Amino acid sequence: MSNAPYEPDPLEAEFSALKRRVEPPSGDLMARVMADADAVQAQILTPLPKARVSALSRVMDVIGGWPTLAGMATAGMAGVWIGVAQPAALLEGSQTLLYGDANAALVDLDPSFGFSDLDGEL
Amino acid sequence: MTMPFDDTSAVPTEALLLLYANGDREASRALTMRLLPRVLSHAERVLGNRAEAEDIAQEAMLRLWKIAPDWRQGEAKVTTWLYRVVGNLCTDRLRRRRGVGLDEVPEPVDDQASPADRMQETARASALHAALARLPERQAQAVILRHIEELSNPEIAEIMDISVEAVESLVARGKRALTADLAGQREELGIRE
Repeated sequence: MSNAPYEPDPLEAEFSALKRRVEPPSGDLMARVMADADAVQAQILTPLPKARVSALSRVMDVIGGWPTLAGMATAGMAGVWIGVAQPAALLEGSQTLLYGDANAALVDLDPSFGFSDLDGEL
Repeated sequence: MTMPFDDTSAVPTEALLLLYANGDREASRALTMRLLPRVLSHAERVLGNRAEAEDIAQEAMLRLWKIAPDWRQGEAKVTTWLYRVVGNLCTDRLRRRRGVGLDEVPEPVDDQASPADRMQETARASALHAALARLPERQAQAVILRHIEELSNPEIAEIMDISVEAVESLVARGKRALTADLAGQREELGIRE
């Protein structure tokens, strides 16, 4: 078993002698260790200097980097192409999308219908 | 019960390390007072040389300060991590120079014992120190952690990154070798059985 009760050991006297041989750290070593602690603590607490950032980098950060820029460029090119070429399928599609069934939506009011009928009552 | 603000003895070591990383200077002093003696004594027992042990102890503590902001609470004990660092640093040193002469072993500091007892104590400690230096590094480390630092086998397994069974095997083989080594020296050095 790993932690069996302690039994008398033929080396017990030697182990005890070595255990008692304890010399505390010198003042010099304590001072050196404390100096290290202070130096490392100062480094830990000092924020890293901010790296200089170019205007382009800042813009890229705002829009989301190169993938976003590529998407924007593609969308821009597509817009130009649609404007110049005006593909028929796109025109039909957009008319349907914008106006749908125009006849059902239009209401042609008789010009004679108006608030004038109510003049006398007001 | 109230506790004075400067009483850090009840504060766990891991919490002190967190305080240190957050800029608490008192925490670094408390950690140094708590850990440096253990680190130094362990390095000295493994290396058998005070000056080298001081270098190792300073380096181990420096690594502790540096890892403080990244320390993950609850994953490992600070003392276990430190013993591992000291063990690795000592192994590097020992690979560069192997063997410790009896003259290099420091004198004991027990002033209350009689001169005869002090001589016996010195002889025993010196003989063990020298015998440990002749052991394979891993056996010596396991024996020191088990019988001098008095750590449990699972803790030693974690420090040495091996299984508990491997620790038991290393300690057993190390002690057998030490017993055989010291048997011949006891008489030679005038050590009483």
